[in-house]
Amino acid sequence: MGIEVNTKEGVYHARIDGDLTIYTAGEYRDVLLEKCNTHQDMELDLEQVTEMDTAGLQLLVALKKHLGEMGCDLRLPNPGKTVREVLEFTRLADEFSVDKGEERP
Amino acid sequence: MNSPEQTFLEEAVELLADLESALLELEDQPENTDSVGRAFRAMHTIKGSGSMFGFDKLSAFTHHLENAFHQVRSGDLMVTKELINIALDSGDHIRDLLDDKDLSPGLEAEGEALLARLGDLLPGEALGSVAAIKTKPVVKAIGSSTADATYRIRIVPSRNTWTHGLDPLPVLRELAALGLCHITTLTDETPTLAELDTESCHLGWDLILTTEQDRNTIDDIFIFVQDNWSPSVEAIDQDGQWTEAADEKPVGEILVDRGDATPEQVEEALARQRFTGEILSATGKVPPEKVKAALAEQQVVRKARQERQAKEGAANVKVPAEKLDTLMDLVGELVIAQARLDQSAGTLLDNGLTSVAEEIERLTTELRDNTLGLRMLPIGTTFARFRRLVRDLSNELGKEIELVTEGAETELDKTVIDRLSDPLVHLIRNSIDHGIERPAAREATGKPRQGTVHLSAIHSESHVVIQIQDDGAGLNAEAIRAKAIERGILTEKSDPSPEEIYNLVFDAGFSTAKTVSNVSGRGVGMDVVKRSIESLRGKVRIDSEGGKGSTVTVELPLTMAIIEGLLVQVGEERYVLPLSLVEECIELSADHAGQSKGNRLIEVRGELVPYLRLREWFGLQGKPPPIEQIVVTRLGDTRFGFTVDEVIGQHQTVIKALGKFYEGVKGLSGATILGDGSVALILDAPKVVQYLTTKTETVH
Repeated sequence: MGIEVNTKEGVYHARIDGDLTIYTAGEYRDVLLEKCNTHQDMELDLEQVTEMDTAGLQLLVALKKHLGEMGCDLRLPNPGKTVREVLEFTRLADEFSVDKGEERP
Repeated sequence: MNSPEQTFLEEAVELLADLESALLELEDQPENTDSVGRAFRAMHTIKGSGSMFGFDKLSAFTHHLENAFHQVRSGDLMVTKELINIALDSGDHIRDLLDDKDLSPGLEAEGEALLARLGDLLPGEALGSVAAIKTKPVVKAIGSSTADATYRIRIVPSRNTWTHGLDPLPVLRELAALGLCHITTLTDETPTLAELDTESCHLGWDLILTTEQDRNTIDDIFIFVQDNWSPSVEAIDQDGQWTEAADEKPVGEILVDRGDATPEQVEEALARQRFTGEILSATGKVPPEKVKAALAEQQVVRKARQERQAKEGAANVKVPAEKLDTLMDLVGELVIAQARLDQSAGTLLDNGLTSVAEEIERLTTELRDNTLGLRMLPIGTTFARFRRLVRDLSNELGKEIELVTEGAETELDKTVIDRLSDPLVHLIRNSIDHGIERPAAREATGKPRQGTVHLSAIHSESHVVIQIQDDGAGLNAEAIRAKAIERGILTEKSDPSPEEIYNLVFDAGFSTAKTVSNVSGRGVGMDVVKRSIESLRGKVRIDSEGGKGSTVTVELPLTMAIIEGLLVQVGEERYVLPLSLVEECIELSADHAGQSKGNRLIEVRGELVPYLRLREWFGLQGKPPPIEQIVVTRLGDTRFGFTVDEVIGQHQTVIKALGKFYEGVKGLSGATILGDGSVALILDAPKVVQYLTTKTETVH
């Protein structure tokens, strides 16, 4: 369980494992807010997220807006089953540019 | 014809089956909200339609059950084994009520007892008796069908919804499960990260839901969030009657309807003569998501209209089985007649006739495939019934047993499935009663506490093989032998193989159970099973390993099947090999063939393939032609060849079963009538090979 944010080649590489729910949204928001303040795109790896509720979804939306304000992208290259399912169900998959069904090996 | 009440009864039975299956799932996974939802919906629908057709007592009873599951949904009532037991028993009671509208005293007492048990589980409430319930009057015109209706639903949860433990996602899923649902997530109110209060919900959803379910069902889903969320549900198309809201509206109008834009804004946008939605969102007057949602609505409505027109006819039709039988017979005859037409067309060599004949062949093939498909049902429906059986039985006997099924999609003719049901039930009961030991006994012998009954079905060319395998105690060969001697079936001196001993259990009057239990009866079972299966022209056998378990194998032919065959000539006779098995045909010259009888080998691209001379197999007179053909078949992993005089060609083969007289003949799975009226025997290639590999001489 947890969140990790690094910078590599001018892009934020972040990763969330485990729960992305109301129980962890607060903590993750603080971390993201603290670490992501420069003009950089972000690639967020959500493959290991095992549970996601609307609080988690809201966090992703807020994060996208945050980056958007700085003119930057949020990309979800590898959403994993849980996150993909929620995004597809709520029809936000396009918003987050999640392509259909391609998982990285 | 079918009165509406008849339809209600049929559907109620289906709903009860659905309920049962949901309850069984729930028992395995008590946290599964989908199963709770399914169970609840089944109850709700039964309650509603019950009262509509005058089944008041049934409706009242179901109402209590439904209430209990309300509480499960809200988390006030835990799913326990006792609850599932009561619910399953209640399902049975409802089924009884379907037959007994007016509630005989016995039935009434049963109902009261169930409600009492239910009442004990519920926190704090006393349930009224069945008679005292006031059901909600369902206002629906008789004769109205449950047609699709489309609703526009907007959900904006309260900010503090999460604090109240209400997550929107499950509710959305429940709504979506009601039918065809288009969801748009509204994120315009969601703050950016810096301003976000992670415990406060700033998301909303617009849904366009097209469903058969009535408005009550939708409202029910909001029952616990009604006050908190104030969801808005508006019908935009109902009962085929398009409300004014649903005429294909311009996006601007939809936005105004929803309160997302003012008429002035729309007018202004229109004045610029571009797509209203585009302008409104581009100028930031209306948040893009709201425009998107309105567009979605427009699209859904448009699409639904089109589908509505197409859909008017499409539905399921219930057809009496005999009509299907007649149809099947006719199709079979047609196929045979078409073959004759083919032949005649071939001889006459008239172009016009040939092309018509080809067309007819194409149509006949399609007709054949479709008709065959009509009668075939997946055996999975039968398998599903068994879950309840296994569960109840294991509980009754104090054993722990899991039912594993495989091949539920295997299709069988409907009559076969119907008649197979009882024998299978008996075989399973047997495994559970006599086969699988009590948990303690199992542990003592190092087995896992839980026993397994493995039920599988698989297709193999013209047969379906169904197996019931258990990991129980197996058969006791000694006990069987002793019993057989006692009954005079065997003599002291006879020395049958273990396999033959095991299969003695199918003899009439055989039962080695020390206690004749309620469950499996007096041993009248197994021989009846055998007779039932034989009446379907099938075979059944049992195999066992002491201490490890038993396997019952049922083999059923797909009679009246029509297969693609390869027609071959041997001497004066013609035979058919199933085309699905055939890989290739190669030549066999006379010098290679040699003189001796028996199996031979030929090299095919580096691999040695054994072959059989059908001429010898069937003992046909006359000399073979100088060049013969070997039809190489693939049977499982191995290849095997059959030598024939000539390969005539592909032939649509209507399988007719051989008469009783010929049943014992090895290597034939039936016969067919050719275009010229003569008979060709159908070779059962796998059986032939099997026979050859277990015996050393070829015998006819």
